[in-house]
Amino acid sequence: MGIARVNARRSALGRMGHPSGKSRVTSTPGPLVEIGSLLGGLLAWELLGRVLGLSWLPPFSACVGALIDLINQGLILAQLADSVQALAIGFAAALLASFVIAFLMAEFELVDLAIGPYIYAFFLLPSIALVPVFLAVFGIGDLTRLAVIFVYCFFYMALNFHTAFLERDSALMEMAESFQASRWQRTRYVVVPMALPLVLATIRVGLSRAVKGMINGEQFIAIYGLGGLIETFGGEFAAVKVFAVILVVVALALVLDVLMRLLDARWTRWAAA
Amino acid sequence: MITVTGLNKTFASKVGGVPVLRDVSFEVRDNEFVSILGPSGCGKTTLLRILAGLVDHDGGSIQVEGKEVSGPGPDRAVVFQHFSLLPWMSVLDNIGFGLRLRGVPKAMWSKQALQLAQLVGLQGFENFFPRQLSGGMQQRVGLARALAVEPAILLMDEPFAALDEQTRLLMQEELLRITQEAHKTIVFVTHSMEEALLLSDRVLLLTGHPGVVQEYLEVPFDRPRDRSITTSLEFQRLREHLWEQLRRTQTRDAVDSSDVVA
Ligand SMILES: Nc1ncnc2c1ncn2[C@@H]1O[C@H](COP(=O)(O)OP(=O)(O)OP(=O)(O)O)[C@@H](O)[C@H]1O
Ligand SMILES: [Mg+2]
Repeated sequence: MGIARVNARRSALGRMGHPSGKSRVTSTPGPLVEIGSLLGGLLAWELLGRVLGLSWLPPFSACVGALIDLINQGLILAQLADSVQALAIGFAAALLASFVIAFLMAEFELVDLAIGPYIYAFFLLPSIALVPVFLAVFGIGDLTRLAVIFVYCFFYMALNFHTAFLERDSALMEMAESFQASRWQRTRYVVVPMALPLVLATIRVGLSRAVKGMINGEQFIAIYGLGGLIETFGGEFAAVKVFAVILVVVALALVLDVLMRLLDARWTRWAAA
Repeated sequence: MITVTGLNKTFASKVGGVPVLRDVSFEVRDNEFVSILGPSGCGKTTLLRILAGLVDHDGGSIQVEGKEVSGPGPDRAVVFQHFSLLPWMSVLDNIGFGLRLRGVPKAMWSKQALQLAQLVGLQGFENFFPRQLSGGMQQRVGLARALAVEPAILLMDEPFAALDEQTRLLMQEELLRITQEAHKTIVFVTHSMEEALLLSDRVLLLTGHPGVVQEYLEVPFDRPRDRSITTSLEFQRLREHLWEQLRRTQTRDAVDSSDVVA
C-alpha cells in the first residue's frame, strides 16, 4: 500500500521513479530538473560519440539521422505497429488472466493453495528461460511472441494483484456488513477500491515488463517487430541503426508510462496528500 | 423495544476462553436513549457489536421487537467510534452508502444524502473526500450515513471520544437536537459520565471483567434538554453517584486481581 500511495501522489508528468513525490509541492522545478538531466545526458552522449569515435558508440545526432532515414524507408513504422499490436494482445490477455486469478485466489483459499505455489515458482524463474520452450511448442511465429509477452508480466501482476486484494480493512468490512452488504457488495465497494492504487502501480510496472518481453521475444524470433529489427541490424554490426530502433523502444515505453501515470493520478485522487 | 436477557459472551483464545460479558440483562424502550457506561475493557463495544448482529453471543437472548437477533438488519444502524468512512467515496457517496447497498436508485439516494448532509451541517462539503474533513466532520458523515437508512435503532460506539473537547460539546448538542426531532431508539456507548447523563433517559452501568450490569439508572431530566442541566444540583448528585459506583468496582477489581496473584 505504501508504494501505491506514493505512486498515487506523484504528478502525472516527469519523475522517473524516486518515491519522494509528496515533498515536491514547491511549484515547478520537478519536471524542469528531469528534462534538464535528460538533455544533459543526450549532450554527453553526443560529445562522447564525437570525441571517442568508437564504432559501437555513434553520437546521438547520427542515431537520430539514421532513425529518420529508416522511417523514410518505411522500415520503422510498420514494425512499430506490428510490435504494439502484439504488445496490446499479449498484455491484455495477461492483465485479464492475472486479475481474475488473483481475485479468485484472494476470495477462495482453496484456489490460493492449489495454484499459488505455481504462480510464485514461475515468478521466480527468469522468464527468458521459457523462450526456448515456446519456440519448441509454437514454432517461430506470432504465438511465441505473445507467449513471451504474457509470461514476462503475468506472474508478476498475478502476485501483486493477489497482495492488493488481500488487503482488507477489517473495520471497513465490518461497517459494510453492518449495512447488510452482500459478499459481492463488500468486494465491489470495499475490497476492489482499496486494492486500486496497488493495482494501478502494478499495471504500470507490468506494462514495462511486457515491453521487455516483446523485445526479447522478437529478438529470438528475429523476423518480427522492433526486436526483429534490432536483431537484424545487430547482425550487420550497424550500431547507428540499433540505437535508432532503441530510441523508438524507449519512446514507446515512456509514452505508455506517462499514460499510466495520468490514469493513476485520475483514479486515485482520493488518496492524494 | 430491545430485550436482552442473560447475555453471555466469551471470546475463544488459545489459553481457553476470555469471558467478556456475563449474565447481562436490560431492556430499551422504543424512542428511549440509553447510554452504556463503563470502564475500558468491560465489554461495551462487544455488547454493541452483538446488538448490531456483527458478532455472535454464546448464551442468553437478544430480541428486537420480539425477534431474536441473528445478524445485521435494516432496523439497526451503527455509528462507529473511528468513523469507518470509505476514503475513496465523497461525503455524499458515503452518506448514501447504505441506501445504495439496498438498491435505491441513484437519483433518490443522492437526494436523501443531500438533505442529511444539510441536517448534520455539512452543506457545501458534499463532494469532499473524507481525508479533507476534520474529525468532527467525519463523525457527522458517519452519523448521517446511519440516519440515511432510517433505522428504528441507532447504535453508537463512543462516537465523540476521538474528538477534541470543543467539537465534542458541539456534537453532543447537535445529537440532542437531531434525536429530539427524529424519533429514534438509541443505544450509546460512552465512558464519559457527563455525556451519559446529558444525553440519556437511562444509563446502563457496566463494570468488571467480565462485564456485568452494576446498575440501570434513570435520568430524570425533562426533554427537550440543553447543556444548562449540567450545572443543576440533581446532575451533580447523579454524577457523584455514578462515580461512587465506578470507584467501588474499580477498587474491588484491584483487590480481586491481587487475590489472584497471591
Ligand atoms: N475479537 C476479540 N477477540 C478476543 N477478545 C476480544 C475481542 N474483542 C474484544 N475482546 C476482549 O473483550 C474485552 C472487552 O472488549 P471491548 O472492546 O468490548 O471493551 P470496551 O468496554 O469497549 O473497552 P473500551 O472502553 O476501551 O473501548 C477486552 O478484554 C478485550 O480484550
Ligand atoms: Mg470500546
